[in-house]
Amino acid sequence: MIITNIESIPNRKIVDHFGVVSGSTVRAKHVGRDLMAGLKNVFGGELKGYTELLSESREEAMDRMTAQAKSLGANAIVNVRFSTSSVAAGAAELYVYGTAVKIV
Amino acid sequence: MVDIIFILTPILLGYIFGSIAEKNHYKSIQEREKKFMRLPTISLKTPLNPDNITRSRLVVGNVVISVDYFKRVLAGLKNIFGGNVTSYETLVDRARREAILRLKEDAKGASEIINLKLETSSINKSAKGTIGSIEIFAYGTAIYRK
Amino acid sequence: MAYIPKLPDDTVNVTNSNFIEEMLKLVVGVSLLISVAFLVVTLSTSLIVENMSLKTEQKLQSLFSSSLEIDTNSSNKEVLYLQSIVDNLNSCAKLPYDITVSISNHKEPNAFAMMGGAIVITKGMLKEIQNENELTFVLGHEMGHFKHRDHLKGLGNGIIFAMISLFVPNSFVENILSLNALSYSQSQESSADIFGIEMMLCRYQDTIGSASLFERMSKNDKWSDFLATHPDFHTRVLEIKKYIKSNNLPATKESRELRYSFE
Repeated sequence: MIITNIESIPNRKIVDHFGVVSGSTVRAKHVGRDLMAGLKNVFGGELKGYTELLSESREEAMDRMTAQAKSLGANAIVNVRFSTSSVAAGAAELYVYGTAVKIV
Repeated sequence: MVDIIFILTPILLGYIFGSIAEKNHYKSIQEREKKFMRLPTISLKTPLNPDNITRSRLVVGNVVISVDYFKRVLAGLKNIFGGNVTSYETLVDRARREAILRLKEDAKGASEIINLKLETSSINKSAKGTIGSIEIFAYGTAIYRK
Repeated sequence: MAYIPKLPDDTVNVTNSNFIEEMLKLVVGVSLLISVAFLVVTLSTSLIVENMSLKTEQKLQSLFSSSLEIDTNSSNKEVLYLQSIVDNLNSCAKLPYDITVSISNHKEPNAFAMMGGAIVITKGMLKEIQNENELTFVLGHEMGHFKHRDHLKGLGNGIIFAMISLFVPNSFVENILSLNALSYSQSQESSADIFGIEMMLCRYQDTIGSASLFERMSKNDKWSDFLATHPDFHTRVLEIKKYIKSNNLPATKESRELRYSFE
């Protein structure tokens, strides 16, 4: 599955398109990461735990979007966009969407 | 009097360690930016050169950075009077540049990265709504040539 | 389209300001601002409260006294003894409402003046008191709070500071507010001490026993809770003695014995 965030795939032709597909995950952080964050909030610096958490969540969201596109028979997703929102204290929803297409 | 020590210590620790961490981070950022100088990364939607493209894929980079306690207190006080919150400027600058560098690292072997987009979200420690750390997420399409 | 590899100027997005200087300026600025606001608020509430008519004060106190459930028909001899002293003092203080006194079983030495004209004195405090003069001073001090309408001032101030904390939810601001509040309550306590001395003069025509209780308590260590809102005992003893000396008040008679030993 080819995924890009531009409107077409260079050197390929789009023959069919299947509409918008999306994937989302809601992730909550756990206490362990929170403790490190507490310390880092005094000393400053990268919160690696959170970075990994959000990065994994996005990957999972993209996998869900890919699965949805596959089920439609698409072999590429174009014009992919991301959106992050906090839904509850300590939980964030990661949403990715794009247009599923068939390319040759 | 003892309470004042409890308040001042994290502020002082934050200032010292935060400044050191920031300096080191900037050094690393500048080194890597020099290394990746030859990899064009643009926000245009079309490749610079449409010939010989073999493949393209989505590349991403993200980072979550927290600002030290000294800067946070400074920003909180500045909030009362309004104006530029200069203490957070370096936070956003560092995070943005770091996210873009990680995106470039994800695109190993690519000739260029197009349609660069950035997303910022704040991660607060739910303490009176003070913004403590932010996440910057960068994504784009990497173009590979023969 | 040719790409020209060049590094941009990376200093445009950060201002190289001196943060320590900025922090100092902000801390001093906020402290001054809040302290000035504190002054203005306390002066305003004092003005309003002090110019309140006796009738209004009476009405406010009666609003609260009905909810206190004080047993005014207590046949406890000790309470009646305390009440007799308080009634005697009220004839000097001339408050527009009755003051009732009751004993609380708490072991920590303390005395309270509550809205509604009620004085509560703990068993712990009664244990520390060694003669009637010291008892009169403590009761007179609490009457001082009523005379100066400290509760009403406290209520007024409290409302306004709660609003400030709501609009400016900053922990540093709250710290400055509470520091100011502590010093304000300490000055109220000093004024109440002076009133206690006046009550001694009224009842005994003498000031013996005004400072002796605090002098003893200052040698002991277990009053840290008490000391948060009151000035420390050394200071109070010095202030009381200074007031007596500078006004040439008599301090010669013998202290009167307690009618009951409060054990």
